Amino acid sequence: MASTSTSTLSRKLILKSSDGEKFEVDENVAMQSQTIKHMIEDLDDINSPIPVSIVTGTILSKVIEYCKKHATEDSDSDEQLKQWDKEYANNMDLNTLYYLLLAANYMEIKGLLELITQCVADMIKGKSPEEIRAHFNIKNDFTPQEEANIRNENPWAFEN
Amino acid sequence: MMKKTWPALKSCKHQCSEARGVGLNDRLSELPHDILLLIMSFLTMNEAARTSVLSRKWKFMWQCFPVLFFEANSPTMERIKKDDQLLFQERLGITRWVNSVLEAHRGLTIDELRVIFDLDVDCESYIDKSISLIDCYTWPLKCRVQSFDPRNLASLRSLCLKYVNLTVEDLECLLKYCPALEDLRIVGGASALTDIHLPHSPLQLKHLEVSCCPRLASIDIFVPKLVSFTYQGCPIVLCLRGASLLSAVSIGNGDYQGSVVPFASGSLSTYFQQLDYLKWDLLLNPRCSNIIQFSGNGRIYDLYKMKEIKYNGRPFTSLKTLELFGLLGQPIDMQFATFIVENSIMLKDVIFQLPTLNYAPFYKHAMNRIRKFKRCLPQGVNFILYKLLDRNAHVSPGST
Repeated sequence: MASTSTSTLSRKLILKSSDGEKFEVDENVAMQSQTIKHMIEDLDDINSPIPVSIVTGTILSKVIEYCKKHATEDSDSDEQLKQWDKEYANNMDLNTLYYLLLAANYMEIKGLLELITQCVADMIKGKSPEEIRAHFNIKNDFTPQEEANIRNENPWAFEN
Repeated sequence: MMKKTWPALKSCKHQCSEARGVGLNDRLSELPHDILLLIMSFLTMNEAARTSVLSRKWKFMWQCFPVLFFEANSPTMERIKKDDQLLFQERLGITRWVNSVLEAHRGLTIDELRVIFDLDVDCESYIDKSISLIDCYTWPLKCRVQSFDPRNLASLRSLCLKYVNLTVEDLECLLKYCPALEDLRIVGGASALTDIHLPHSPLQLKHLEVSCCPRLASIDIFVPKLVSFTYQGCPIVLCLRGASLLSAVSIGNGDYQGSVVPFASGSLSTYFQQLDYLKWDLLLNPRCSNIIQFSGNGRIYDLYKMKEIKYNGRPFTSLKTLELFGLLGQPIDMQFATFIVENSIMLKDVIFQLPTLNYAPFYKHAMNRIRKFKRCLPQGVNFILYKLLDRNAHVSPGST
């Protein structure tokens, strides 16, 4: 089991969140983050914890959950993986989604970033402007006159 | 053609403070610009435009939206069909629409702009003022190229010309003045396009598709970077020079009622050994009475040609995917397919698409032959059979 080749494949890395929580993960799991990949290339000693400075422990654990699933994707079919992604995203509340977006962006995990942005876009689709504002707590900072003007600028977008 | 662009993310070192209250803040609008644009890239142009009334921030975001598609809605098209006079009116309307959106646009670039409508030269020259920003442009349907200024096109990377009355000069001019052009599709119409002849100046093209250009007689180009080549139509004099990177080829007869196999195997045989994807797309209509005769005469010649290649020692050494579209499952078809399979070493997938055959016994024999062919495939080669109706569901070359 512990032959030289497999042990180099599954080196362990320690990620440290902004609030000091430490996570031990397989290298191939962490390498899905381009940011970490580049960090490791510059590091001589991979045994010391790698700081993921803007991501909290709660969010980092969710990011790692995603990366773990996608590091072992050959065990699942594409269809199963898509289903897993869907459930993963649907189980998050809005706040978590925002932090995940920032984390995926900072850590440069393309798949996760695409998954969550698509999920947020789906929440916007099919809603009227009023419904979108309510859903995301967006404050309307236009005067009624200004808002009417914008609707008049792009009337094609508001006719159904 | 639809592609998702990946915005530069390095700029973002944004951090939301978790200390602020949960739930009541508008965290979405606080997200970095790049992320918001990425979210918006999943919306249609109309959905994106609707977000412009949410707040000032969102109005600005909409003005940076990089993918603009303009197309008249179908009720409008129906009205025009009934009354020609409306065309002029609607033309004006569409042009105004495109212009107003482009004028309000504040993004650094537009990744993709499409205007699908019957425009004339007057409309076009106005729209053209903006194309220096763009790197993917679909020319307005049936529009002419006379008025364009090629200096505006220096950064153009992808160009799709559908049913454009392109002349030989237009095209040569385009190829010369678009040093960044990597992706070129010329589809349909173009009766003035007879030759594409640039054998000496190296082009940057990576993907080239030429389909259904009925008057085209020859293509002779120097394409050291070409990766994929698609040709649909009648046999032409074809010379792709220096295409050492070519790995995907798709050849079909398009609207032409004859075989293109001998021409293609003659012109492209030097490249066969480096291909990993090959598609024969022979659109045959089994209900045509001339089909038997055509497959009798035309394709014995094909096979004869293929044998010549075989003896010349040009096997398909890298071929991984072979698609055979439109073959009727006749003995000669199966011999053709078997020939390619026998000369391939790394083949993984054979995709066979059979046209709808109305005549039942014919169908039965065809299926028997196809089953036999499948049984004889080497181990590890996947076989997929499509009927004509599934055709549209299938993926296009390059995305397998």
